[in-house]
Amino acid sequence: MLETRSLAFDYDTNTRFLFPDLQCQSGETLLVLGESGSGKTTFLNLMALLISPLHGEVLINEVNTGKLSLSHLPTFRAQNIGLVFQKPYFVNALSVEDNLLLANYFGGKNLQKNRVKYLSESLGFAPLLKKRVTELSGGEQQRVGIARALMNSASLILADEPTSALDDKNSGLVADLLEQQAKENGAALVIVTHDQRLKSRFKNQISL
Amino acid sequence: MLFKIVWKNIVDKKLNSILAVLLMAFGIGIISLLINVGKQLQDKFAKNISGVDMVVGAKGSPLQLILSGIYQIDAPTGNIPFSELNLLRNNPLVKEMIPLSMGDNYKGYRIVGSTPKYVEHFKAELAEGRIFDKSMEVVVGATVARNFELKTGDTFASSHGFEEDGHSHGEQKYTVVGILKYSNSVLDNLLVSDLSSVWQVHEGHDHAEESEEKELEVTVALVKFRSPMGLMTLPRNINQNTKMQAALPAIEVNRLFELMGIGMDALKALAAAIMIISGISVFITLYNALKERKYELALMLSLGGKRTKLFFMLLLEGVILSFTGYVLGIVFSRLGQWFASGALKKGYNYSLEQQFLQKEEIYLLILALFIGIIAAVIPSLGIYKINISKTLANE
Repeated sequence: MLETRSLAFDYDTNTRFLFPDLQCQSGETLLVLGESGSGKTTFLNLMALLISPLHGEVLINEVNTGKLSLSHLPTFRAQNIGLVFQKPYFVNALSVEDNLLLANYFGGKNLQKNRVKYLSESLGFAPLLKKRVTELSGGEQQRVGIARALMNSASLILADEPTSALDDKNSGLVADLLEQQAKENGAALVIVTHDQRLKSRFKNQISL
Repeated sequence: MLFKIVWKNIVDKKLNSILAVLLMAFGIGIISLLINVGKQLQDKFAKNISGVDMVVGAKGSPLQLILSGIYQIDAPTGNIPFSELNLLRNNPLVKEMIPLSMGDNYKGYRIVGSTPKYVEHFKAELAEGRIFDKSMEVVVGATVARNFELKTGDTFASSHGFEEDGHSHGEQKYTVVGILKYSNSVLDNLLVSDLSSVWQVHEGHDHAEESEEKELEVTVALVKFRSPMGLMTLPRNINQNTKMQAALPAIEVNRLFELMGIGMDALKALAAAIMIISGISVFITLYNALKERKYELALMLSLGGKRTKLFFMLLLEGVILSFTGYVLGIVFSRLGQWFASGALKKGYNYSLEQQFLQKEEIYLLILALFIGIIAAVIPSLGIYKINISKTLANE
């Protein structure tokens, strides 16, 4: 599902990052561990197609993404990749439900209220759907963020430090939910983190 | 969905949005009200002129002559000898001449001495009774009759001058012989009698004049020409060769509206300034929001949103705010007109009609939308500067 080949990126000539090749199949989870400054967020941004590499390739669903046109890129990303951020950003004026539907809307798909219902029940925040996101706790927000990444049935879930802002209890819960939901939805899951608590949970891991 | 996002964002910043909308509404409301009321007053003024080409009276301000002679709102400039008018009547260029004599009132409403032609001039019809044909008989305008419940057969004494508490002519009583229907003209607010009635009431009254023999006088005469030739020659002739003054209503009313226009223009400028402030308030609201919403916008971009779409989404906020302001402003304007109409109806029996959108108000709509777009476009362009990865990665 996801494959990277000899990716490199530089912000300026002094800081050049070379990234290891990796592969992640549907239903698999891969943990990418790295300290601050190791370029792990850059790596994630490359895989998320938010920035383009100096050289190297990112293949998603056998598509060489470097060959996609710039105008097609946002739609391709919206339909194939679900992003989970360290701090889940939301449109604060909208309700939890509308924030989830936003993924459908900007991904160019029909609004899937059934999927909202299904995901909110399996992630345990169904009673919060009509609330505003700002009224939610950090753990609840992160669960909504995961649900949003799954709204378009993406085949690749990329999570950037999904647990580092949470306490131990919520950290474990969110990690469980991520893995379980990715499996259920047949998606490949890549977690990029420096959170040592996750190290023991996932056997499939590489370090930067 | 796009509308929902825009709408929720507007509602989310209630106070800012209300401020922008209200400012726009006041600006639009004031301008629209000025346009409408100005237009309708102009129409009403024009209606009362119709048929009168020239007003002749004593020397003085020509505008005053028109205001007192046609609209019965200003004090007359003085009196002119009736004999001189008769010379004018015989002029072949004059088609019709209606002499008016003013000087008395009944409880604040003017009693005008004239001929039955004055009533005919406004195409007024009698609601009851008949037209005057003897001295001291009077026909009462509809508003006056309604306000004082006058009926045919009633008698009353007039007061001198135009103030209600003027010296009372107790010894001479007028008799009401007819009541007029509403004619939507100045006649509604008048009592019309024979010329001789006014002379009779004032006989032996003009103490100031110790002249050898009493000369009959009138206040003004309304003149209608037989051909445009009259317009070319008569006014100049009268002004140069007689003690009288000739004024042309069309010119004076235009002058009046020019004078009023200065005040209206000042108000319009003020209203335009309010509208621009509304634009600035939209600008500030959106500009601040853009800074706060940088993360939201980056998120929408990462979810697959196109920059052009988000640009129009932000623009739409400004447009909706100014459009809402416009609609509210028109509602304000119509309400204001309704109140003004009520007040005018009571005071002058003038009423304003409620009209659908005027041509000028369509221009106002374009102006309002233009201001909204201009105010929104600069903050909205910020969407093109957002770097998704950096914005989402940095807290």
